[in-house]
Amino acid sequence: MRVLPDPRLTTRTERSTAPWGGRRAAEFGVSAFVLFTLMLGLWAMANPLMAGRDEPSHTARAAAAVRGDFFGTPVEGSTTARTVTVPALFEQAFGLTCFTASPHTTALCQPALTYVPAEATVEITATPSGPAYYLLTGLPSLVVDSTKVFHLMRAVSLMACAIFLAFALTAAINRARPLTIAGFVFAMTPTMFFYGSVVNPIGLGLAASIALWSSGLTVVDRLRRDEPLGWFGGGLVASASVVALVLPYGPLWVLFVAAAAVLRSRTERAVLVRMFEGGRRKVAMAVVLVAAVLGAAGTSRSTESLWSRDAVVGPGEVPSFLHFITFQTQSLIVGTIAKFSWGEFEIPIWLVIVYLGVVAAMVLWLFIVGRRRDRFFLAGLGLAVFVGPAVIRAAGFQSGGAEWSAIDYLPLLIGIPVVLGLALRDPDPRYSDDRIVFGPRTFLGVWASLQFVAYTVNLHRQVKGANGSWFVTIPGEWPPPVNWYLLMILYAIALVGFTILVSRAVAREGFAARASEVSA
Amino acid sequence: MIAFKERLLRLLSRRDAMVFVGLVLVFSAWALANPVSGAPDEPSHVIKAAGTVRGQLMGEAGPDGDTRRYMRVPAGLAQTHALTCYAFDSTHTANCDVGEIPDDGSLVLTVTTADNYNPLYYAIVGLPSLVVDGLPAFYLMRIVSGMICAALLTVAFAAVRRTRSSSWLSFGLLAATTPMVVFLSSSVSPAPVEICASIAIWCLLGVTLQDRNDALFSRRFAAICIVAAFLLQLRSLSPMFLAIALLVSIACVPWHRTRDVLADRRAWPWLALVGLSAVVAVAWTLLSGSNTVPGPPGFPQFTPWYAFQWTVGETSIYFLNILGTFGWVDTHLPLFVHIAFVAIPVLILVVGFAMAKIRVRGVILALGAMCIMVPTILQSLQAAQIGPFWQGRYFLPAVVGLPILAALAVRSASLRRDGGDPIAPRAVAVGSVVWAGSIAVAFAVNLHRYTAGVPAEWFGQNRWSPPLPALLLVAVLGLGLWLFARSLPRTDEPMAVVGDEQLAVLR
Repeated sequence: MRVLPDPRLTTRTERSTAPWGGRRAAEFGVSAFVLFTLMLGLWAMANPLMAGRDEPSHTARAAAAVRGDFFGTPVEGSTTARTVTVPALFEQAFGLTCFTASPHTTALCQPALTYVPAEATVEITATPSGPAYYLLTGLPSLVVDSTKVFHLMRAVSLMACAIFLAFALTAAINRARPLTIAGFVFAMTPTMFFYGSVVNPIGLGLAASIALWSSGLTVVDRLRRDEPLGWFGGGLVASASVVALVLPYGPLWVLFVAAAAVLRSRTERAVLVRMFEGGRRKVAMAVVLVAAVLGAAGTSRSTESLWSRDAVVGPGEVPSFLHFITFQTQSLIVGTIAKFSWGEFEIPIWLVIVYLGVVAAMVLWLFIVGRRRDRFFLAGLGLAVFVGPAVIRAAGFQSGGAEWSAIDYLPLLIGIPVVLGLALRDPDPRYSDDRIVFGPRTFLGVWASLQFVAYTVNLHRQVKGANGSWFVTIPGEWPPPVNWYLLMILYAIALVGFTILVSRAVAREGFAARASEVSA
Repeated sequence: MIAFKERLLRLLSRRDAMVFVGLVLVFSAWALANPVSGAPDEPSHVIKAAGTVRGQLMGEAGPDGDTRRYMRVPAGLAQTHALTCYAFDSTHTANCDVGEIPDDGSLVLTVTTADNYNPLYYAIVGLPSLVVDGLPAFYLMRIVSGMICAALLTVAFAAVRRTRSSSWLSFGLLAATTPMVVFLSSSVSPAPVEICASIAIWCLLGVTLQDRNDALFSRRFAAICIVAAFLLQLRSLSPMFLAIALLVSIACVPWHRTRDVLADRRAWPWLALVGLSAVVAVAWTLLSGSNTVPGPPGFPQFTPWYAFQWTVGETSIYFLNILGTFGWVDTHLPLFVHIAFVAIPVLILVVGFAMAKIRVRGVILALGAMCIMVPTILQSLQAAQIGPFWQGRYFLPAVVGLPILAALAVRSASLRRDGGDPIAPRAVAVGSVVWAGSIAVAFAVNLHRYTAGVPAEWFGQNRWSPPLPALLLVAVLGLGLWLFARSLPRTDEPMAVVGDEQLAVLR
């Protein structure tokens, strides 16, 4: 009896062995964009206006930037303050931060905003970012002159973030295995979602950074295999340019990620040669270079305090440095995972430990089953990412100056789980055992649960205050735009949708990658 | 003599002995690096132990209508209450100025909060106080307590060594032995013994119910029942922890396995021993009133509902306490140590959850929920009387079951496949390095806290010194960790039952 092949399998194999990209990837990307927009939108609704750190300054600078004042006017005697002239509404925004001094105060204390057809000169905290982000988020202030302008500025910002996050996820699906995607999703910390939902260039910078890591590694992988880059190349250029233009140390980070991706390929020369093959690739490199120059220039014009650090850890300060590393790195670590509002409120520490514990467990798994070169590479990357900023911070700590907040080095830190996931895609053949299968849903489920807890705890702080009763209505509650129980339900639905979308894509593309390898 | 040696070798291999010695060295190094009274309520436990071995099963009323309970112990040990000047203040070194500590052996009346606790544990650890007095007696009591803990953990590792696919179970046991367990095992308190006995019970029960190894059944079942009988006598909540371990372990396997075990006549005498121990333990608890809260509510604001919410809000503190909060809940581990250590339990839980059958997944989730809800409910019901009293470590005897269950699930999956599991031995090797590193850093942080205080720089001027040079203690700890890590079971095949040829070599 002749056994006919299963038509579903045949079709699936043929369709799936084609490299990830084209229409399939575009459809996936659009779905991911919708979900990211929904999640970031729910974060935006969970946070009162001006709940983001320095959000009044960022909104004022954005309004000024689109009116031609890119950098503001330095204030004499201060390295951190600037003045800008903006519609008077933006001056009132500074009065909305009454709840940020204490985690027990809710935003019910915010005064009502009233539109006044006048301009005002306001003093802002100088933000060490170039004007690119502000030119984008300030656009609504040119067309809307009501109090809705702040919501619209947030909406523009979060949609830009969602575009890069969706692109990053789409790139990560390329030849993905369950642990690859586990690494990627854990790079998207609750901090990233918080900053992505408020007006702050860090949010877009972080979203572009994860896209840079993800697409950078994918593009180098394809260069190494001499495969067509598809639209991943264009996305990579866009991500690198945005990182360079938006983040204070952006050009440095682009260089770092590029070096890491090329070094990881172990075929540096071939990759470098192919990077410059053809006119389009040369133009792309030029675009990134121009963005890096503009970014560096924009940052140096924006603030004078950022680049004036000159302290160095000397041999006599080693005990202090060790002490700092041992006991003072907690706030840095917590800040990378979940530090919301103006820093007056921190997420429960167990969540941070479990979140990073999962990443550490993946590191452990790499050291068990990974290839030697991947282990060394990750160790080197970890050393650079963890110890480097700590040394700089400690040096500043000694001289009483430099302040590196966790956010400053999060663009590098998120590379660790992304690289980790990729390294676990191809374990050491001696320890490669398909019988130990990590379902992507296990990791995605843990990630989604932790994200939900972070969202809920932050929402509770904003609505009820940090110590307010969870179940009883109390005086002084802040009413979010949508009932807070409904917000929680919607966020849970969005996370479930995300989990299903990603796990299905991983199952399909993992199958495709295996089929491709088998046929090769 | 030779017969005894043969029997001993059949029970305890050289590797088992190395595990025991390694753990004793680790616990002893920590016991000597911690100042006197450096663990929660340690003075009360020491006084109870010294009183118990002198025939005082319960305390007596205090002088002049003092409602606290007193015991008559050597003056040198009675001073331990005064040596807690640093408690609750991590900036304060252990340098307490209490003047001359008498060591003439005279008995004095001193207060203890542990007077009505079950006396079995105290009757063992109090023995050194009959031989020496003062601080040497204190440190020796700690070391004896640590040896009991080490023996119980060795029982668990020895059972693992005698199973097929032992590596993942070793990994699970490492995950269960948190820095907090190691710290507590170096102090005088029945709590760490209860935790270590629970680890042994979880492991032995799981292996016995999973394996149908008739040759080892008698020995394993005897070990379970002896450890269970001992566990029941430790604290007033110990029967609850034994019941949890028993019910959860039974729920993980098909019912006929349990029925087969209960139907085996060889098990009955041992079950009778456990039953007898349970009766004695419950009777002691009821008669001594060690688990009752007399008097009117002292904290009326802690209504059950308020206490419930309050407890949920304190989850982080309980979580950190399970992993490692040393001293009088005043010495915290750096966050990166927590994260490094947590990688071990997280990994085994994720692997176990991914590979477990649906039934076991459900049991793991249920146990996890129980570990959160039971303490919350217990505190909610009692907080009005005695205030919020709960600490994460109180529920460690149940929490340690989570990684062990997950490890049993991975092992079960390994047993279902043909051929070996190349990953498992390597997992133990990597896991033991991370475990030992976490313990070493935790030890250093703890020692630094007592010698210089948390705010002081490393390698600065020390204001307190342990009884032995710190470098020597570090060396002892390092040797212990090395011995322990090197001797962990990490093979796919079980250790052969010691035969005549091996005995000839061992002789």
